[in-house]
Amino acid sequence: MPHSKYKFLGDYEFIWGPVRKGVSESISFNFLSSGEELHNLEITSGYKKRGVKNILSEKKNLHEQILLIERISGLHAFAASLSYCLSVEDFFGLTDKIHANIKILRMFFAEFERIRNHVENLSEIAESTYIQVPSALYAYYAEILKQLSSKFLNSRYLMGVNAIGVFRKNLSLEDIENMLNSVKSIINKVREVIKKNIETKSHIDRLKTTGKVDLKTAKRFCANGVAAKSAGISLDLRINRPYLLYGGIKLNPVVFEGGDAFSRYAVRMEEIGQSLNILEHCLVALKKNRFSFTADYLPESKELEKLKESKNPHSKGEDRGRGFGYAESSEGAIFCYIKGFDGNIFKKINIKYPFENNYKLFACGTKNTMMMDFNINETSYNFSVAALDK
Amino acid sequence: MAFWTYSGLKFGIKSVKFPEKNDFYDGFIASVKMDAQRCLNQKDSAEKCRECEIICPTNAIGLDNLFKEESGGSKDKYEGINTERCIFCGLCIDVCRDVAGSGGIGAINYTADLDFDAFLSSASLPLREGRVEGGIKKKIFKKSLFVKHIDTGSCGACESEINALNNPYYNMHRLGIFITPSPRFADVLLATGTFTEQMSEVFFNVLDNIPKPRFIILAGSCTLFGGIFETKEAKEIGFNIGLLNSLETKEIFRNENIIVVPHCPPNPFEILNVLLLIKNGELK
Repeated sequence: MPHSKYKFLGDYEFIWGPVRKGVSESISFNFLSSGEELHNLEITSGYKKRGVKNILSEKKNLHEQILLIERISGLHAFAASLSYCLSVEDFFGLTDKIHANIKILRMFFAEFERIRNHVENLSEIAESTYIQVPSALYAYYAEILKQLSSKFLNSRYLMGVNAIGVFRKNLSLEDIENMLNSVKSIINKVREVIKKNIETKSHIDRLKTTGKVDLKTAKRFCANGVAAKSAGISLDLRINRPYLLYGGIKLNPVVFEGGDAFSRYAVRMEEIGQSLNILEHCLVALKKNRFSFTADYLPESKELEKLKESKNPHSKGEDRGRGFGYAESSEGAIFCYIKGFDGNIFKKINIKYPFENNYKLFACGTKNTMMMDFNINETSYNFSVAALDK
Repeated sequence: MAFWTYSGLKFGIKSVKFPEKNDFYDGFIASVKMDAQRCLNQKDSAEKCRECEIICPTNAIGLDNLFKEESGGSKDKYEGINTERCIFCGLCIDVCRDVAGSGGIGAINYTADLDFDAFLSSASLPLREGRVEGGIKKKIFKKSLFVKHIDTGSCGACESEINALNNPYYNMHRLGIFITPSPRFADVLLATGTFTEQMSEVFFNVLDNIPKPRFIILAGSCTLFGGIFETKEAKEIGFNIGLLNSLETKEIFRNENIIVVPHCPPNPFEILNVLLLIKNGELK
């Protein structure tokens, strides 16, 4: 909203960004403040606009499109590429043909990515309230999780893992078991820090009532992910619209009603536990399905080529359809809509991240809050400017 | 608060010994390399295969450069992969394993050797063109090194890796390297991203405010050539092709000390290594 509507005598404007303190993504905030209280906030994005839609249409094959989608927002690489792969599989009619073990592995690593992002965000929130020790501890455990994914998947950010109908890395059941044991041990340590953190009054007091958003406002701005869950909206694609094999797991929705930074913090803490339960479920399911190596589930390349040919509009003389896929990332739903397959790539790809709605909610939620709490408020949303700008 | 001080002390020192010792973590990847003995394109081999070259999304593989013996290079030195263009996607590794005759092992693989010399020789290419006389080999910064970061259109992974340098594992503060909020206090400008049109003016503004002598580190494939975002159209426009390739920066960079850190995203060890080389005046 423009500042003129809110400006009173003594209020002044100042701009912060696009280059801000420390290591942060480029975005500009225009504040209207009377000193301590923030009356209005205008957010200017677009500094990082890379024109992803056009670049995607110039790629040579589906592999390159996956690699590019992973790099729209590096922190949500797996969830984004998963939504794209699911949409392509939907387009080719492969959804039911994918082996259950591949689906379980995708669930496993999607949850792994969620855990990593949540732990990393807990570190940022602790830092924003100036308690350095827990912040350093969380950051250390997030680093160990990244090293773990590098060890097993050759990528610290789960890039280059997803592919159409397959899992690109060759893993054994033992690898998955080892990985789960390591994650369990890290999460136990994270839980110890969380327990102590909750008892730290100076930390919790700063989070409570900061950036409070009520249910009505959250609904008005179509809040997504953690922002929605913290304001009392049960919005989780894994529960509401199950994909992969999430339908077979009993998941309780994580919902808090405070709508403040503390509620968002609490949602993350609960979700870490929820994701760990899913990881354990995945391992049990893999054992039940007698999984041994991912390499056992490689599709016949000829079969995929045949499908491509059958869907090629040039060979048949018409556009044969569109595909749709989605995945729940740590910050909310990522939707992917594809069409215009030319035999090699999809010419039109729409990928939607949760940040567009959440930024509007954030701008509204910061009104009449303290300037000092702005950093806490921002980190509790865990935005990705790269995903917003695309 | 005393409780947290106690917890911190109890947690102990978790930092690596690097650079005293190359104690990298299990699974650390520094580069993608070809094994000359395994590749089907060896000079004497009858079989020819160009699968990796075809599939590479960033044209990082040039099989015509297999052996550089004619140009004075060692026969053992295999230069099939251009380190500066490699984004670690692993597609070449996958196809190489699938090629008939590779035995399922392949000639290309990830390696953990942080080859500092090779890394710096590629990094010093732009330095050779426009280096400031005497500004590289000697130790310029006597005390701490202050770094200003600017994001010119990255995916956020590079920022996450730079932020990781502050965690207790890398703990770059122990080495006297700090991130500064103001360009006026900075010795090094650490840039990430594809260099978008919207960020060009901001970038030059920040650069103007950094006092000389100064270094510019281009971190990540995006800053070098646009990474996976590189397109023909972008080359014509001059943006989204990285700071190093952009026509906008060409003249200005002639008089700057430019260091490049390739890969997508660059590992924190690689970034830390370059910062240490600048701080200690050990750039070759």
